[in-house]
Amino acid sequence: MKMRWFIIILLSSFSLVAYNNCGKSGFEKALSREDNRTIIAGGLSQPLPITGTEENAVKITMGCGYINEPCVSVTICEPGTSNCQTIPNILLDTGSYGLRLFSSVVSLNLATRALGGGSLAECVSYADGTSQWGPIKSADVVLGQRKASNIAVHIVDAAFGAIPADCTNPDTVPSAAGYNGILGVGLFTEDCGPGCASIANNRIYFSCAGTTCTPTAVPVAQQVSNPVPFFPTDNNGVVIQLPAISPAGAAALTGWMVLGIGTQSNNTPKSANVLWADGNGYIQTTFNGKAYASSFIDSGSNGLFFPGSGALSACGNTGIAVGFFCPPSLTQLTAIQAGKSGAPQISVNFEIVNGEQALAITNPNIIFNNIGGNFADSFDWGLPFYLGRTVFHGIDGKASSLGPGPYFAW
Amino acid sequence: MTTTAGLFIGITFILSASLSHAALGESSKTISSDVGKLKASQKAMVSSEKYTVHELLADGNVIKEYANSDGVVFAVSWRGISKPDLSVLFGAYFEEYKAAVEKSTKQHGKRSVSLETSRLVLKRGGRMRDQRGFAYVPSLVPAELNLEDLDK
Repeated sequence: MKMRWFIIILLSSFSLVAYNNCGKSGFEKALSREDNRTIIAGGLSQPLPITGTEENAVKITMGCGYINEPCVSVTICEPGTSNCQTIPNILLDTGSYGLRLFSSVVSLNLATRALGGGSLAECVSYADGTSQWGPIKSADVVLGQRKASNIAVHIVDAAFGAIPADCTNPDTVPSAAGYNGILGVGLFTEDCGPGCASIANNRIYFSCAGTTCTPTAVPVAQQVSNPVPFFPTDNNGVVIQLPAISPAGAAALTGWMVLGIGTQSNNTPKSANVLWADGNGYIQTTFNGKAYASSFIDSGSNGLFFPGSGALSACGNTGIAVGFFCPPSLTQLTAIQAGKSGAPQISVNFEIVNGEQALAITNPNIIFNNIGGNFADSFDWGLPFYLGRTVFHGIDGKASSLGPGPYFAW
Repeated sequence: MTTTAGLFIGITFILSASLSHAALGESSKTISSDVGKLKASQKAMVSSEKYTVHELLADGNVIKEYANSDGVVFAVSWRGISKPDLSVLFGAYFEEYKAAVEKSTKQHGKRSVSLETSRLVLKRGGRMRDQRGFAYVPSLVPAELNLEDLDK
């Protein structure tokens, strides 16, 4: 296994270098006529020497529930005790903040946090109209051998208290969601931040007394939080490293999340391009001549989502490929990532495959570096972007060898 | 391009919440008042030849209501920490929105989703701390207005 992994990394790094160099000559020439700023072809980061036995390494297994889904195991404990359980099949999500677990997979006795004379509860709403509802409880959260003590976690339980009216279509079971929970390790600490601390009717946090739940402001220290900044060490961000795959896809794949940036030999980049993010965690992306200021890199998005046109027609409204592009043939594209200020500029070559062909049930592959779909006014660099790359995620307000967060770097 | 510079003929900043507002499909002149229902404060009103934008601030969300030249609200947008009360913003269209949401299936791994009913088109997207939405009634959208040009 180890030898095979080594070969995959070696091949992927060679192919990336070759790919990047190819893209550079033509692309830079074309743009230099109208723009004097340097456009870098691809990121500088190289695969890190991760053995998997380090205290700060967490194994990623792709596809525990659906296409392009990165999954990890998380250990939780009753705070300050050795009463712990390890829960597998947790979505690893760099696009959210905090740990959410379905109540049905939690066997520990965790205390519910109280606020405003009732139990603290939360409704997280998703774009598809579904939501996750349930109480906020306290737990120790362990990743690798790093422990975040007594932090707020969201226990997803649609039957808790009285669910607010606009907490629509609540998730009820792991099988429908495609995971036992979500581990949000993105660029911020709390899932809502100062907004929910100052606004009572934030429509996210509620105080539940009996079966009455009323909206409540919540101090940031009580909000559901990314565990990483609470680790005693290796707490300034995470690195995700997944192997490259072929355009045909892969049936199985594993990789690593490493805790911390520049704190150990396995998380220190030799070089990397840093994309500073704004107060919402956004970077810029220019595609088809238009700049999208609300762009982001996100392991919890299972495709590349952006404003597509031309050959990038949408797949059917029903069936396996809803929400994906269905171009007639594999389509080569280029976009330019940039930090919030517009620099540095990094060109990224990518491909979009016909979604219905890739996701056909006769295809055993469940990991693709080339599926995508439409997203108005934004460029969402989802899981395909991570394949064959080493991507650094610096947490807001934390210093690192690459500088202070929030940033993405690769 | 059709709605860019030159078309904007007046900008009025309104300090009080005195002007009335409406849900989708209702008249901004005669129907009161989302401002009260949403406990919102009114930030600004911007008029162009083809439409008027009423901007509200409610519980950490910026809401924009777009009225056509007949004063009928043809589109609404929002951006903020969560989402506003959609039953207020959608008015008579809320029930069909709700029915469509209840019928739709979980879209794994998506931060952006489009939804269509027979009369309403909705796009929602965003992430924690920054949720966005835009809904419109195609039959009420002013002729020759490119929705992509709307300042959301």
